[in-house]
Amino acid sequence: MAQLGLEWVVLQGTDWIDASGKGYWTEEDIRPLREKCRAFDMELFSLMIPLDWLMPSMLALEDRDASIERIARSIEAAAAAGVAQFEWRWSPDFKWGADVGYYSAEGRGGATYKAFNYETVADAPPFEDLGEISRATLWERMVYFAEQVVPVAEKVGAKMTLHPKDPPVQNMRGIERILTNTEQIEAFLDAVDSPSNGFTFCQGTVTEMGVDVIDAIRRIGGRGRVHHVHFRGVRGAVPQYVETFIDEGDVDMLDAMRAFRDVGYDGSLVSDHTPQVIGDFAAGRIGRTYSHGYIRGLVEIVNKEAAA
Amino acid sequence: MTRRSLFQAAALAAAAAQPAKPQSAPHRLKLAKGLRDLHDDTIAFFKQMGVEHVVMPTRFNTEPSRRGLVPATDRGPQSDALLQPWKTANLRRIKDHLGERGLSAEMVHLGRTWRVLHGKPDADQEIAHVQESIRAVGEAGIPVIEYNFTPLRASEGYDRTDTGPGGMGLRDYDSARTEGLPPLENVGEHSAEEMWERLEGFLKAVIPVAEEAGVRMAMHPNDPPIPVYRGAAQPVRTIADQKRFLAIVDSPSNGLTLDTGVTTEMGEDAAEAIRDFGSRDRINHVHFRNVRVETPYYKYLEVPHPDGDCDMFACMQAFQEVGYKYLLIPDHTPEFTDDTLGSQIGWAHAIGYLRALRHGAEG
Repeated sequence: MAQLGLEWVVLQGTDWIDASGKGYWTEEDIRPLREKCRAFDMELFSLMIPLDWLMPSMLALEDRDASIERIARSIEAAAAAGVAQFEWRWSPDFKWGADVGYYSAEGRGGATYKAFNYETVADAPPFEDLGEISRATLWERMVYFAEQVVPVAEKVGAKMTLHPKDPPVQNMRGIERILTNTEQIEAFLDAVDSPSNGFTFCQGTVTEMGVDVIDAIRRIGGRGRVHHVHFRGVRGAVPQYVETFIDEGDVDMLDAMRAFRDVGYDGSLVSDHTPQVIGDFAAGRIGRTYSHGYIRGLVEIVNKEAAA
Repeated sequence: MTRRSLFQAAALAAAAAQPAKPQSAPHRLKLAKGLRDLHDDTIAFFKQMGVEHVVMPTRFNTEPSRRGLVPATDRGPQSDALLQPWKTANLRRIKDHLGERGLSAEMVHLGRTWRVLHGKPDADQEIAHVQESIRAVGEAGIPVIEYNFTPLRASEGYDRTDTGPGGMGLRDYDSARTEGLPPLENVGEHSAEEMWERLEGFLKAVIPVAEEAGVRMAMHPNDPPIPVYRGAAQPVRTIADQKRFLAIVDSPSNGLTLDTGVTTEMGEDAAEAIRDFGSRDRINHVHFRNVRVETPYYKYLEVPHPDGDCDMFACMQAFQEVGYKYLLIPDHTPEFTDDTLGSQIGWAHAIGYLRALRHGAEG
């Protein structure tokens, strides 16, 4: 990552940090990670709250309050170790296969793209382990969680940033999805109105919502409530779209980068999924590298425009 | 059909019903890649990176190979053999192979003309072979040939350093490493005057043939741009040299490879050079590369494209401004940890970066 010219580490896979399974993080868990990043001249900027830790809250299980306690404690510990930001998702159905409407499509130069068609799952039954969950219930639980955790983050000077549900369909097999349009996102930011309560502007997901993406950047970013950005390209929108290479989606990425600059965005911005490039590594390193090269070019351009 | 393609279909239908309007799409620079092999996976990879134009190999080679970070030491000619001419059919076979797979081959690189470079008695015969090659290239429909006029490349001044970000491997050059090295027996000593004389003879014989064949020649400046290496003068190593070179035969067929790296190594402003040579239609090929210069001409470090002294975006804007029509390739790549045989990580980074700059240069 340092070789790509990156400065901050946003750790998305964090399930392994609590190796002993105690259910929370301590300062001692986090400090070595931070040191490791520093050895490469990078800062450990952000950690993802593990999905397992959120399940009791999303499903309102018995140990919900105890799990929230552990998360609050983890945030305090990680912040004390220098971590500035925490990502979270509100996704009981965290699935990425054909069972939620994805399929493979062939794209540029024969690269394998991930595509989505809602019709393939519109009539599918609810998931056996999850059942049906209404939007109101999910929303109420999400606000309950945020009302307790966001003040903890605020107190230690850290930010929470919530990823919208992807794909942003209204109903996925009995689970009514939340944060599927910008009105809901703004309503959530209003409901827990703290500078520490922010939104992960997953530009791919917002594009899939079929809204004016540049306008959304200006509106939500203009409120100072975009805390993190996922930068990727999408062609189409719900109910049917394709995840493309970064430079061939519907949104002009240079205009998007200009919009982030214009609202004074100073948070983290990461590459996101890319099509599967021939001969790539398991983690899609070559595809990601292409995105990072592209992003560096855009950042250079918009900064030069601002300086001119 | 996606919503987008629906819109496009509707827009096309509307356009058909109205009188045609001139397209105002901006001039599109050809971001290309030099190919070393024709393996199906190599072709697929660069297409996936969005590449549509290539420099083609002149041998039907389908085996990928690793290109070292530091160039192999130039030992001069290993025999007295003349550079052999290309055959139209061979060139066509390679060009068609690529074309059928969606890549347009628009340049080839000429091998070293040792007999000409070293002023051997049979130099004229070698020039005749070059003329034959130029005609073959024209017949194969390839618009540009690149070559260099380097009697011996100062390759021993290069070394590897792992001081890049994250310990990535970079190539550095320091002319102190070549100081006091004697001439090679099979190369001998060649003064600047002699090299210019030979270059003049070469151009006067070759450029008229290129004009007739509809081919443009692109001369890569001497890289590294030092004056003399092991007694062999490097004739075209400054902007003034490039101007002198162009004046020998004033023709669009007598042009330059504008290498942003070498231009920066000279301590010059590459964007300015692009505007100057480009506005006169004398740039026939482009290498995109970046360096951090310690002492112009003599000591520098080759770095990732975004990290050097050369303002790559200003260069891209300059190419866009002068309406440059031929290929631009990312030249060298630094060595990323665990990169593939074909340096795909390095090329993905360079191509992604340059495509963003091109998008920005289009406005």
